Amino acid sequence: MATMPVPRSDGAAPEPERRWWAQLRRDRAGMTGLAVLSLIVAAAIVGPVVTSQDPFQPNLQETFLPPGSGHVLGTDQLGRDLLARVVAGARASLLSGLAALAVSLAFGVPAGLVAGYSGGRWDDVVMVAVEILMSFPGVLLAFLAIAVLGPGQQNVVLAVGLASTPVFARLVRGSALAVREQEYVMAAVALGATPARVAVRHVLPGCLAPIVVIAVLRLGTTIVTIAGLGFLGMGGDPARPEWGAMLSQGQEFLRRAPHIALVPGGAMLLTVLSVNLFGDAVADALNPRVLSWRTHRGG
Amino acid sequence: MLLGISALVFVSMRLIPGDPALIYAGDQATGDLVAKIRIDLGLDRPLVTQYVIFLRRAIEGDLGVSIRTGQPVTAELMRRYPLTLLLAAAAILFSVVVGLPLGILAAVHRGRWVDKTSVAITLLGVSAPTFLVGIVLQLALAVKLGWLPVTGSTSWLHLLLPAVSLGVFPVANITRLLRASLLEVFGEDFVRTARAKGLPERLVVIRHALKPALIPTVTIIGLQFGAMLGASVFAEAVFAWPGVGRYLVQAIGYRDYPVVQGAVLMLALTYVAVNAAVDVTYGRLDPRVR
Repeated sequence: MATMPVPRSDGAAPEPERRWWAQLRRDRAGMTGLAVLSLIVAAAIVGPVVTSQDPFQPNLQETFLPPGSGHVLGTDQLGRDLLARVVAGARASLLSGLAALAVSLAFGVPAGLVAGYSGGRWDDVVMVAVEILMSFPGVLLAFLAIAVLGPGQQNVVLAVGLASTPVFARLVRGSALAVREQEYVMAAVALGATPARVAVRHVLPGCLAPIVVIAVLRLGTTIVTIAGLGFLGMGGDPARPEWGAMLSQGQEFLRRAPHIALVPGGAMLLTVLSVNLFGDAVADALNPRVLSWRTHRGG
Repeated sequence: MLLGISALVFVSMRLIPGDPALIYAGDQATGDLVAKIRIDLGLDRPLVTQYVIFLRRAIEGDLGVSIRTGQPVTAELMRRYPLTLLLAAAAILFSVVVGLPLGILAAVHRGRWVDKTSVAITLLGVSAPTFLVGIVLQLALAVKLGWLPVTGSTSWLHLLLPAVSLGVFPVANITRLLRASLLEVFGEDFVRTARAKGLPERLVVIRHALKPALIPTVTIIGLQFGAMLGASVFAEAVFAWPGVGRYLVQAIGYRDYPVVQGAVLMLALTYVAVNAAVDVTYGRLDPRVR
């Protein structure tokens, strides 16, 4: 973990050197995070091979079994195998987290790019929208979206993605404002490239480093927020293996079988921890000045 | 800004599929009743007029009535609002009491075990979701050891666990920021001067380095208080703490839109007010901003 960088929204100019990968590899904490994360991703991909059990199949003869008793991580209140469920949950969590990030990027990057590069009225519109959206505390925006869209896992993903869209819009706008003044961009304009081409081919690549850094740093937050909405029962079907919903069901049986809550909770913590370790390392390697901590978060 | 927030909340509620008059009237209502309710609610008017009416009533403190219970939303919210503020304030108090000393110790003993421990704690703190911390604390201290009540809000003891689980995240942020600001200040000339004139390290830290380092930290504490208003939903859910957050989540479940509207509006306005107060304080603290 590095010392805290100064908050700054005007992304720095792209660094021509490609030393960041070498620096990333030297970061022992970051590499540990990456290794653990890789294991979790591998488990999520080959999940059905790791466990022969069906994560959905209830077995009322084998409810509340503690870990080790024929089931490596025990069974839940309906006798479902917890290892199978937690592995299926890893897949759901990682995919949902990435999908939500994709939503934020899909809306935030174009909005920020247009605002920052073209300026003028577009800039005003985007900035007012961003200011309004950013004046909701943390997860409240996601709640509002769920209230409109209705419960369900896809809606949760959409809601969480929309809720962090302003973060990316503001970030990209700031970067685009700085990159716009670079000589290579002016050269492209002078050569007669169309504004759209300049924005996409010349300005956008210059904004990539901060986008990547913030996206990686927000992955943990995103996973936590999605799990949080699942915990509050907004993810729809409670039979689906989703860490937040599993944790919420496990809370009812804390006295009798705490492992039902602790297993998905542990998996969640391990995942977010490794994502954050890796994210901090990427932030240090790519751009030491980008903010590597968050004041907002769900969960 | 306030207009923007209220407009966003208002428009969101109108975006919900389905006729609000039908929801109010219930399943067995006659067409006449639905038509009457529609007029009562002003739903026959243009959207902008509806918004102006909504705004005027909201300013007067009238946020409509709950669809589920028929109770006025404002009264219901005001009953729960102090509990959420209390929870958020207690969480911030906890995070300040733990975070400030931890940040100072980490910076002073940079690279030593105290520092490494603080780094580990802050990493855990930013990674562990409030509801997970809450459940683990609940399991350990309430269910297993029986030292504290599991859920509820009937005594001061009930406040402890939700406040601590909510406070873990700001502890991490405060520690991290104060450590970093102190390390930065340690490199300044006036600190070197203080050290050079032979002042004991303890006095160098307390008299010279701490004040400038605290400026960004105070800002973060204020911002964290605002963030607690959103995050408290999770602590309230784990510990059945009857605040605005729990009310909001239940209302989303019941599709009780006037309540959702009122609760979101209230939390967002508080958040804006807190952040504005932070800006003002920052100006006062930092002579360079004036």
